[in-house]
Amino acid sequence: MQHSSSSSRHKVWSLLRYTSLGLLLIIVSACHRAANLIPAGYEGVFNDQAQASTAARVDYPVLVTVGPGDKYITFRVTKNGVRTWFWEDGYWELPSGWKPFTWYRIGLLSDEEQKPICITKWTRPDPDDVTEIPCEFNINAYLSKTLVALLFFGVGGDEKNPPADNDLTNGVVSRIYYIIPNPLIPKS
Amino acid sequence: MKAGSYFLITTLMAVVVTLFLTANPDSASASDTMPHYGTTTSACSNHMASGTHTGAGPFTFRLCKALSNANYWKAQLINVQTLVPLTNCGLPNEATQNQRDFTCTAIQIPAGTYLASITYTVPGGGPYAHAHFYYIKP
Repeated sequence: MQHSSSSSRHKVWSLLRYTSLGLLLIIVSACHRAANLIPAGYEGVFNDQAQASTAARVDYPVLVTVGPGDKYITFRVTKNGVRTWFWEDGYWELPSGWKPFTWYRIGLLSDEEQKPICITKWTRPDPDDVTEIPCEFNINAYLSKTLVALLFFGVGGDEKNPPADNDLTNGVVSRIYYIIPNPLIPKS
Repeated sequence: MKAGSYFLITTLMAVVVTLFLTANPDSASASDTMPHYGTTTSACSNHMASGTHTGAGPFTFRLCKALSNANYWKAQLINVQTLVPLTNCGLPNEATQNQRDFTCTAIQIPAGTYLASITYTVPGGGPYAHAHFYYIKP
């Protein structure tokens, strides 16, 4: 009888111990990921999560080159933007790191105009890491000017219906953008 | 049973060590390498919480230069639906200070949700843009 009681206590204690260890394992492994805007050709950096996290901690500007007659530029959104561990500042304010990115929305702003230059609709991410999102506007009017791109990303939630624009669970990242003529593309 | 415990503890320690090895050495204060909005009471002791309410009266926004080395900055509140910045509430481009407050009246902040944006330069570099969190005017 005494042996049975001791065995039960031992089992409960073991269960508690394993549960605690499991929870601890989950907590220390937890990090938030954020989507991010990247320049063309930088997938090599952002495919590696540790490198991506370090790179994204710098507010780097993005340079986009265009050819004559181009009517739109393409924003490139990576899922490996910023990785924030649970011990870092801001972790508890960020969208859940366990849920997938479900929607992207981009706006491009210029200091010289009160209205945004372009706003994309909410777009579903590609299964691949990088999603390309085009935005059409009068490119020539903004060559070599300082522009600000805003990337809003929905996390989890409804995969069929985009989030509200003012949903506070949407993550957001901003980047300076410069558009310049590509000198290697001949003028037609 | 004991072997299982050892395995779990070893795995746990391996994860912790890996996290520290792969993380940027400065990552503990990484977000302080950029200028940011502070709380309602302090610019630099902590970052603003997303969804901070500006309330019905005037509201003071607090900026912290942190460890960014920024020499010039400007701050904007951008409506997240229209993506139009507030015209009468923000900080125009100016030389940085370690902490900088600016106050907007209730009329200058219409009801809505606003992205807290900072554009800044560092000596020889920039401008850069930084925005992560939202203010709400009920």
